Amino acid sequence: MSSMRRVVAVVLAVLIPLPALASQHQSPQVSVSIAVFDPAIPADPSVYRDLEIFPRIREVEAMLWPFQLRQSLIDTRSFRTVRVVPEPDENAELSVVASILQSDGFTLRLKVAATDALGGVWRDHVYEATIDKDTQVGADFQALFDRIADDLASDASRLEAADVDKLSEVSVLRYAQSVAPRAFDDFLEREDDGTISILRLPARDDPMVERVRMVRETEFVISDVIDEAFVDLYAEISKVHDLWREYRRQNLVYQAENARRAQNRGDGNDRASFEHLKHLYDVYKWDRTTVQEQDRLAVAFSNEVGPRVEALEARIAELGVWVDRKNAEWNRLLEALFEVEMRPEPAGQGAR
Amino acid sequence: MPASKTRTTLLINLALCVGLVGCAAPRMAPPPAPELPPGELMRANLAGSWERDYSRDDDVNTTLQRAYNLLAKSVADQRLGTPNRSGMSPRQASALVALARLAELITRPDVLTISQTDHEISVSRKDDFSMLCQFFDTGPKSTSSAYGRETCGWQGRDLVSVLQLPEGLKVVHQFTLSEDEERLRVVTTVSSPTSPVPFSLRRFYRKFERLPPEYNCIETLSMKRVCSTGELEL
Repeated sequence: MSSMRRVVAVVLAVLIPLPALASQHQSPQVSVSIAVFDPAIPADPSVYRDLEIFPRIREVEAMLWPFQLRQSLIDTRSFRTVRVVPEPDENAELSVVASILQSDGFTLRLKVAATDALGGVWRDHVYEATIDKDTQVGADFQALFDRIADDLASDASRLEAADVDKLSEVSVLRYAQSVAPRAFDDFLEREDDGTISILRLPARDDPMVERVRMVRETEFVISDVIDEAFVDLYAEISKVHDLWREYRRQNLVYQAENARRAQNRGDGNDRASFEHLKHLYDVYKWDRTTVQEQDRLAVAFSNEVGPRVEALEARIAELGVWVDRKNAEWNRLLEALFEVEMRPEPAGQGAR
Repeated sequence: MPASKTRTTLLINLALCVGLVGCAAPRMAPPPAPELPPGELMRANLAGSWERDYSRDDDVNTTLQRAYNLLAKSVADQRLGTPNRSGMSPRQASALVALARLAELITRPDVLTISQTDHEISVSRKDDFSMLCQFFDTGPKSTSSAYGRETCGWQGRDLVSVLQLPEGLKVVHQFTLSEDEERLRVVTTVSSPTSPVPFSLRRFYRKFERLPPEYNCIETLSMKRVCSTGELEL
């Protein structure tokens, strides 16, 4: 072994603790990465009030809802590991992304897309659930997440063991392309329709693939740290979020009540009478008061959960910086190692 | 509508408007609009706590009496010129009273708390909704619902809020800040197709400083209001 190889090997050994998450399953199953949902907040702040969007709360919901989906996916027992990650993971065996189209306490509408490592689109649907006012907050939208999970489990059940292995392999290769592009550039090809074709496969026990796998496992450890931070956040603020949704629902009930009172504008009063004019004014006043009470509650929600969410965001950003820095380092090391291994060996010594 | 009737109505309206707005003629002359850089959204800073200066307020009964007198004079004048034309009917008179009562009700709060940011002015009033004015780069943003539409704008340095309610009922507030920014005049005009004339009332306010709170408090959802003498930690 050349001195350069020895240095690289030592550095990799130091850098990479190896929790072998991917090898823990019994029967072949795919792993799922759920990205924190896209809050889909319009860029134009002037429409927030009309659309009843509370940006900070949407952002928090975008962090909380994925956990309900994750639990539903775990409950199907159809997937190997299910992680929540801060950004969509294109290299995942199955990547799930979702946008919140509507969330007002009574209705939750999500656009969900699930794409596998080969670029195959499993689902690209809008899921919607509307609950009635008697449904208990907390368990209210569980059925919607169960429906998404059941759909994905049904898709997964159609995979043969060979399909699962192929997804796993391509997932690793896609990741390998991102950390060691020179070494893995010619293994895969992206077609015009977005699907991925395998041009060739690495040799079984290819040391470069093994190293990439190890690097990836390390990254999974970081992902799991972030995931745990999300879990903690979920535990801390889901009760407050439930409370917010309870208030939000109550507000919708008030709005319905306002509408009913507005209908009774006749009351036999002369249209020019003070009572009638006051009624017209009061109907508007009640409506605005309801809306403004909701605004006040939104501020109260942000006051309460804001510091926790900001702390989590700071932690994620910190880990993100660390991962980026390490990725750059791994990239440099793997590329260097590749170069060393591809260099013709002196006569009498084996080559890769 | 015959042209003569239209003219008559216009004359009555004009006479009353002159009379009413005349009564509401500014005791504090609004300062000239300052030169504003392009894109300036807020032309005056109304933020603060304002308490009523009852000594300067319009008296509703006096204002209403004046409106009647002006109307009666106008009607008499009209009768001289066009003897077949009738003046204000009892129904219209009663509609004017209804407007006056509504104006009085709306202008009852004795304290206004105005908060102002780069894009928003909110006027909090006891027992009423907070008036909201939003200004974005694209211009003022109306607040509308099935029950009405609130729009704001600037007339010079005056903030004008127009609330358009169903059946043509309209409530306009004009906020004028004194030159020293210590006094505020709010002219509230209520109009409706049921009355031949609108009704305006002036309310005057003085700025006051609220005592600094002994505790730092914030609203939360699960713990309601949380206060502390030191720094708040949730």
